[in-house]
Amino acid sequence: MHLSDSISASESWFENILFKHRPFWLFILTFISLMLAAQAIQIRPQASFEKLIPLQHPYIENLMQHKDDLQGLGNSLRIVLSIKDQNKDIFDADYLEHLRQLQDEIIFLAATDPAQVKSLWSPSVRWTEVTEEGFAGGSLIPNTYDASLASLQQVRENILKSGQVGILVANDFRSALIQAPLLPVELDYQALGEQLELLRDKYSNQTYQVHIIGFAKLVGDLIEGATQVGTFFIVAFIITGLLLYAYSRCIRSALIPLFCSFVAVIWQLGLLHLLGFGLDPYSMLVPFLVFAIGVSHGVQMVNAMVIEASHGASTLQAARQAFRSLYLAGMLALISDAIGFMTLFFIEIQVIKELALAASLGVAIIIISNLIMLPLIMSYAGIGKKSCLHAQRQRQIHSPTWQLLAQASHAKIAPISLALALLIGIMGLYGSSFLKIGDLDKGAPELRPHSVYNLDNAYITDKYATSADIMVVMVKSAPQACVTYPVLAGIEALQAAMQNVPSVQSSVSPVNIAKRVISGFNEGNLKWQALSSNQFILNNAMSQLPTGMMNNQCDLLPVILYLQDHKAQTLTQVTQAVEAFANQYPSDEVEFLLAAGSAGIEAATNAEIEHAQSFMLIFVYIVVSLLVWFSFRDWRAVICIILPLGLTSVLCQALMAALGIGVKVATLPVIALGVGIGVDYGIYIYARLIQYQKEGESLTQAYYHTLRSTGKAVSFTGFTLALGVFTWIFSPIKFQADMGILLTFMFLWNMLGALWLLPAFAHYLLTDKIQGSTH
Amino acid sequence: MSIFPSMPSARMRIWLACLLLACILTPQLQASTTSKYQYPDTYVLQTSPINRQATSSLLLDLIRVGSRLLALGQGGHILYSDDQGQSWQQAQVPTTSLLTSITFSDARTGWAVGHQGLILTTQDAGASWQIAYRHAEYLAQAAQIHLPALRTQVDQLSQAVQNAPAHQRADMEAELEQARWDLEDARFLYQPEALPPLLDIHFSSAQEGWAVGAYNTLIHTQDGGQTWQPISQRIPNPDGMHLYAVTHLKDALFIAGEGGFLAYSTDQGQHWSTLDSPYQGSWFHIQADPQQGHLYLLGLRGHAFVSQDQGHSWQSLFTSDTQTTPKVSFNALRILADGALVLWGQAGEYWYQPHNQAPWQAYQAPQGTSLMTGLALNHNTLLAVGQGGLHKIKHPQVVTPSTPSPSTQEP
Repeated sequence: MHLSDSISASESWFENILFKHRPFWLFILTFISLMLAAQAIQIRPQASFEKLIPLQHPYIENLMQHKDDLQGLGNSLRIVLSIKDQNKDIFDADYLEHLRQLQDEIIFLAATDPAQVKSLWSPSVRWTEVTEEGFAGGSLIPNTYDASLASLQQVRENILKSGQVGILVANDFRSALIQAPLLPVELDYQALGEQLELLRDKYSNQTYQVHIIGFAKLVGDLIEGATQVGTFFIVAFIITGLLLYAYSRCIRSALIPLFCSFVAVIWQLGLLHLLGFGLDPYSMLVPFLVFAIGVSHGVQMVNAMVIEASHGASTLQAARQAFRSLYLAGMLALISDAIGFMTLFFIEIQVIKELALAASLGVAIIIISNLIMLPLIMSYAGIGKKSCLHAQRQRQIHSPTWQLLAQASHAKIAPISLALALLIGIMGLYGSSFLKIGDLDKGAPELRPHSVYNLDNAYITDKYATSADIMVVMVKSAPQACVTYPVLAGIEALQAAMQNVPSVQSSVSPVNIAKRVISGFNEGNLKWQALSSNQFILNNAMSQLPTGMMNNQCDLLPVILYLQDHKAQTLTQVTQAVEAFANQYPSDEVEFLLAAGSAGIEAATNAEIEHAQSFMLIFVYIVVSLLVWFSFRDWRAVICIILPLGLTSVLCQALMAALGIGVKVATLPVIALGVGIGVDYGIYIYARLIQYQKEGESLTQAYYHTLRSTGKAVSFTGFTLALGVFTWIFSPIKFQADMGILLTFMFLWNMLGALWLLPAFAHYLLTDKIQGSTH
Repeated sequence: MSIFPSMPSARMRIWLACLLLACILTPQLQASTTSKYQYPDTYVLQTSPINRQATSSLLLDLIRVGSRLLALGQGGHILYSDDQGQSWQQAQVPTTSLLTSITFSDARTGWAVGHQGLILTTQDAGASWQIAYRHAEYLAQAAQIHLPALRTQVDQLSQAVQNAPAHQRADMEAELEQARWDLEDARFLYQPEALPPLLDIHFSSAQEGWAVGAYNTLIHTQDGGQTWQPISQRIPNPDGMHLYAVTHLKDALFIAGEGGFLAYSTDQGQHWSTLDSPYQGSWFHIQADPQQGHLYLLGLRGHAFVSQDQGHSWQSLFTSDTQTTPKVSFNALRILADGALVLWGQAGEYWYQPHNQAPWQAYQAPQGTSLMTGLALNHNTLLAVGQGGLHKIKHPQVVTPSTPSPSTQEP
């Protein structure tokens, strides 16, 4: 067999170079580690909006092309000061004073655009009234405001006249909103998030409560939550250390794999920082994975050394033997991990690409840290006596567990196993048919439903008129033609058509404003609330548009659709409705482009993910199958190793459907990671199995021996990997928790699949007779 | 406030000068003139699509005909209900423009007006509607008749100016200037984009119908709606004020409009004279009460008057002993079957007078959106239309649903 042949053939030069110059190599590795550690401590959490979205998707291309024109719809914060007492309302001198102070502090935040901040106190927010002479109007809180009851009454009347109820003032008059657009510059979301939390603490008390939402706040919360994940790393580190000790009964053989895996994480973080990347909430998973994979390979290496040492080899000899027997198999497994991750590169979403890069880099580093550095260190440290004795003792004890599991390859058990697997697979396929694309929860799906952000979001969407799920249709015309009748009539017709789409709650466009202005110019009479085909009336009306509703070239107008939620089904319904309308609309002078707004971006992301999902799955399986085939040059190996993985993928999808986890940016990589890492188990077991079989043992016997030698290491690996990501389930960030659940499931089930189903397949494919005839 | 008066005037000159300037400065107008004979129609003359939210979209008028309720408004929506407003059907309507007013000349024959100079009619009590009159066609015909003549006049005069002796030239140039202005006025008036919105329709008998609209537009039928003729030029309205409402009381016709405009005719619309207006702000509605012989006039900023002498003198509805006087604009007055009056106003305000002489009481509809008009639905519910479509309003006092009768159904 190819793998075993190459192990024995290539022992010499590489091993010699390494082990003849141990101090030199250790010095070099220490030097690099220190250099990279200096880099690694500089790495910062980051989150960038553009990295989360599929830049190649036509919707996003449209959006990016018109980004500057849509600034009014861009990044802004909404801060609400609410009153806790059910019987009080905002027409209260103390409340208004607090609101003014809060507004002033928000204006002075470095990130906000001071000229654009709007609240009841802004002079730019006005009430208007039609009089015989024309319009009368003023700011909501007049200059003459003196906190008296009369002036509070005046404020109440002004607010009612201004039409700001549901916009700047809650429907129930128990809170008011400050709208704070952010400057279009690179923002430090983490710092902004901290500043906002300080304001929240300062202004929330027994009487008042502060609610803050907006993309910037969400990102701040994400970074904040992601940083907490750092503590999980410590937990995972300690538990893994304890497990290692329980496994090897030797402090040295527990600490060294732990140390080497930790070095791998440092290298990975250092290299990421050197390459100019930060850690976003998605790629934060990677250090955990690298650590877990590192430990599992370290364990294999230590395991091999223990076996050599217990056979009486010297420390150096044991290290060399272990290195010789494992570095090729380990390298192969790690390379297939890396290539599995690389398939994520085909998804045109930057965070996924970066995650793929970070993960590939990480497993490549493990080749150095745990396949090279670890045996070098162990060649000095050696294996503890206790460990050797433990291993010897273990070897002599007959293991009933392994004996039982070895029966999986038995003629009577194998068909039952496969039938059972088939049944589970069919059930899984049925379950996975309920799998949905996209985010399924309300509010910000990145965070947990009961996070402060989502509670704030629920409060604001409940008390104010507008939904947080916004899709913007960009209506494009010839330059300078955005105010012509065909364009505006088109927008009006689009909005009418959208009224028939159940998931569109309401819509707003410059046409609504123009119609209101036309009515306003005619003394507020509603009989005039219509577009005129008269160009002069339209010019006049459109000249009153607020900034951000029309671009300078006058070739783009936004139609803002407020959606009831952001489920993939909803988004598809809306985008299909818009596209159907655009195809039917009888004018060549106007073009309806999708899509900006949070929901528009999500629609594009969903489309990209839906497109990428099956492609990526097929690709990762092809790549892994090819790798297995190259390693063993045998199609039977491909079946034995890959089919159990397939069952895991199907069950993972069914689990996602059952738990209400959609396929999204966070969960899509999980499938590739699960397959890429899961293949390791199969490779280790299959390699041993055929080796024992080649030595003339029957299949069941060979499998029993395989289990005795590597089965323990494999199961230990499965638990370490699962443990590394299990802690994520407690992350405050919903998608990290989802990733944790799914990866834990895949690591454990892949292990089970390899131990239970691989021998069942082997029973049919690697029968002793065929084995004898081929060799 | 009028932007496009139909009669030449000093005010119009200034406007036109501005507009010509705008013509030169805004390139998009060039584009729009090339396709001007198609585009309003392309978008407006389509069957109004069924709209799931029609009952909560802008509605401007509401009447009861027999046992059927009808409402109309935005997007060419005409809604009807045969179960006292429990459920509504959307009628088949051949336009998507905003409809402003509805009336019936008999139990099955109805009329509606709206933007883009359209008059619609139904023969089946409102389930389906057809176009009865398009002002665009009239404008196109008028342009064909009048524009060549005016052009010829300008050409002849400019010829004459060149040939004229020096001492006559100044006079003739003034004449030429006048002719040029006339041509520009006419061009402007007859361009299809300048279609006036029609704002009210009223039948004074089964045969005589009247539709009024913006920029002093009055359109008349004498044959029960078979044919309609614009007769705007008969009205003494040099500033081209918008005409918001038309009604009749006994033999007299009344039109109320923008800027305190008030006119009447006692010879079936042949001749019209202005009346002294008690207020110089705009009137949005004029309503006759044939039983009492009263005329009600209402409009901007809480102004509402009654006349008991055919419009010659007016008294405010809110006498000084009333505690508060309204500040919102009133859009309509409706007379309920028991003689109670309801004034429908902006910002969800409505004023109610249970009977003549009783003090007016102010109420606020919970939604707070502007109400155009409304009627009594049952003993304690009013049904109003306006922003946000249909509004059922619980009224604290007993109200009597107006008894339907074709001649007074449209207040």
